[in-house]
Amino acid sequence: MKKLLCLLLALSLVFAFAACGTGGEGSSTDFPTSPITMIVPQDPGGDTDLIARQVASIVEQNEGWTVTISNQPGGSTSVGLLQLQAANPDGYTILCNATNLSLLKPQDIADIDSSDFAAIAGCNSESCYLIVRGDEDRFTTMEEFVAYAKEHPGELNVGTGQAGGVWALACTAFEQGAGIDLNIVANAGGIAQVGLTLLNGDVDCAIISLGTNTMYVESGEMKLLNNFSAERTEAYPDVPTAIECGYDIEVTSNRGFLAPKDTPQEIIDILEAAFLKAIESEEYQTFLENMNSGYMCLNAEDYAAMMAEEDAFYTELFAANTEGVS
Amino acid sequence: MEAFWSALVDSFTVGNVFLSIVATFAGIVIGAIPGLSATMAVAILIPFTYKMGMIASLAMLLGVYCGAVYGGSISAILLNIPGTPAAIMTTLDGNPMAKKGEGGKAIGVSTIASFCGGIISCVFLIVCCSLLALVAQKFSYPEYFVLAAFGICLVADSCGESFLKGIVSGLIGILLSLVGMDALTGQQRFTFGNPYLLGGLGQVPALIGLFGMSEILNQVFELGVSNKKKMKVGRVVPDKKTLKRLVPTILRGSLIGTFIGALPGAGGPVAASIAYNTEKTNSKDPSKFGTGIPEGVAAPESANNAVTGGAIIPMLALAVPGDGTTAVLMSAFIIKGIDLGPMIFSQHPEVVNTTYIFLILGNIFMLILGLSLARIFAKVIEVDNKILLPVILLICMVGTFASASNTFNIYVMIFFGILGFVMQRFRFSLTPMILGLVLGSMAEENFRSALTMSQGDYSVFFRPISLVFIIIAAVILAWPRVRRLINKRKAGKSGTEA
Repeated sequence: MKKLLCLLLALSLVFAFAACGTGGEGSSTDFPTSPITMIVPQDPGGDTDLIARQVASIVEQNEGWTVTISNQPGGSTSVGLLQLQAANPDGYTILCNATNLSLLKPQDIADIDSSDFAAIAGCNSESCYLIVRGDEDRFTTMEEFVAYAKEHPGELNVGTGQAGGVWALACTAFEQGAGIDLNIVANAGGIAQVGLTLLNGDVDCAIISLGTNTMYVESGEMKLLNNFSAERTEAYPDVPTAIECGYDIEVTSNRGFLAPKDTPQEIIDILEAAFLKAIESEEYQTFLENMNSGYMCLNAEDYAAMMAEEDAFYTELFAANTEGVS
Repeated sequence: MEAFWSALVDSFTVGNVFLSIVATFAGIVIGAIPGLSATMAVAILIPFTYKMGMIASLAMLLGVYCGAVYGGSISAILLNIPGTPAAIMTTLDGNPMAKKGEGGKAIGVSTIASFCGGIISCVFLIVCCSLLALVAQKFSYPEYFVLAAFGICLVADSCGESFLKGIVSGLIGILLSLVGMDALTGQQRFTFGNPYLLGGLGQVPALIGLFGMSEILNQVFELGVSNKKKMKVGRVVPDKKTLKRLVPTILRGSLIGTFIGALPGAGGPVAASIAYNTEKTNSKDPSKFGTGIPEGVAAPESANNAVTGGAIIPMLALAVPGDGTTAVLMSAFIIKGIDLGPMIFSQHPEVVNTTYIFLILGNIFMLILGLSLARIFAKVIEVDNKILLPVILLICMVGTFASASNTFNIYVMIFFGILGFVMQRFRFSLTPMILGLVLGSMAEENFRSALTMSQGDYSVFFRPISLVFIIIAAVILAWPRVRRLINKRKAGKSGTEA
């Protein structure tokens, strides 16, 4: 009996070790010859995680590669990014990135930005909206909202994602761009919970992406006043953009894939081709539709340019808004 | 009803049932290994569901969910190390029972309590899902604060010997919960410029350190002293008398667990601690808790398994996860293009019914597997400590690493291990600290959000739902003290008369 127990214990050890194993090495011309590790700098089950897994699975199917996901949450994606920075630039470690990268330096979280990494491709663009309750009668358009906010400074509660995240910064950008003063109520629980606080009446409006709250828009319980992307979205062609309303505000949360900075160009090209093929696939587009998330397909160059723009935008936003942090 | 039967016929294939059994067993094993939790298990399995049908996916994921939440109690009872955060409270009476030679009975009580908790929460899920979801929907920052504050007040009753030391321990826990980037202002607190601390001190490494590592350090210090004391396992299924006595405890625990599970902001650990402490506060002899009584195992275990059904209520009805594991579970639905929310009942009734079925089946298999395998699990403690302890230490380290794939967490675990060991040497109880750690951030964030929302108006804490909870909490806390006062008066009167 004791021998069996010892064997079981040893087996459980082996199993436990296997649970934390990661991928390997290899030469560059026949890339890849061993599994690729994709770091996801967010918790499992979250949006970034789901998108990363979906793209990885399509890449696996198309190319016959093995792509293993390694969740490294923490530090508003900085933990995963720092790991990527320290990894071998051989193409066997990549990462699924979100706009949080551009927020790290301005907020003194980590001293990195997009210039510390090599871009592979961009795959997703999440818009955020100014959302109010369907039966809200104080303001039914963006103009009325801004007017009301100007008459009642600091009174309106706006629910948003967690502090230091993209949507909370969208609130700040909106305040600055429209010249109004809102009471920002951040929520660490997720946009679904923010949606609940809006329906409850605990906040007067919300600035978040929709996600599962889409069903409330469809039922009329929530109403979209404004869209903070550059153009109107396909799903909601009647919702004006902030730019159309005369405010120079554009905030989106974008996702894409990165590799360590000094990864050889031939390897980046191979990765770029494979990932673009996966992103262009119908399977991926349908998947994003199911998730109520925006489609985007950018090649390495364009994605790198987009990230550089975001870096500049947020650096400026923080510089202009230093009182927001205290 | 028809829809239910047709879903039953569709799902009850040999393949799916077998998958459910295997998944539940795997869940139990994963839950029993400290560091591997239900959330992790479900997260690892989600990619496999890409290629599987919806029914098979549900069979697998729900089985693992039920099994893992229960499995945490096994290592809690036998090794004094909770296998999952939800099993923290089970160590308090479960391990003393094992040390007394009643390990098998403790596992039996845990299995039956977990089963009852799971099934009762399923009943609530099936019968009043929409109703409970409506209540859950109304829960906002003030209400969550009251709940967390209530949980923390209960700390006062789990202080062990010294009330003062318990408060200190709880405050240390709350202090440690402040570490990280503040969710409301983005300010970094106690992070010392280290990005790994931005998310706070992880719950899993803290748990493994406080319980696993400090326990190992304890045992190492006593290794030379008393050695081969063979812990008897004893009979597994508790006798009828014990079972009857446990019925009210299990019912209360299940109700608490279902309700707390249904609240999007709270899950297993909160439910287990409120159930345990409520039971203790209201029992006729609270001092018995902690010495190894079945009630101390039945309460938290029925509560944490009731969370499984409870957490699915908001997931289905509101598309908001009821706890950490359901958050991951939701992705299985999203991937298949199934919209969660009130429409799911009319658009995909077969998915809803399949969820009910495999949740119930998962609980049934958990009961069968738990009772039949309890003996085998319990034999683990018969292995000589000299071999067992290093293996457990290694599993703890690997478990910590597996939970977040970076080595920093291992340092966190070691920190907590040493902290826990030192505290225990000075006879500070660890329970208030872990409660402070788990509930501290919940209380603080919600308190501040509530006040931000009300623009500084404190009366927001006295709005209807919040007020109801304050009253319930006050009653639960005050009642035993009032009762003791009355008893004293009565004794005093009869004393002076005689």
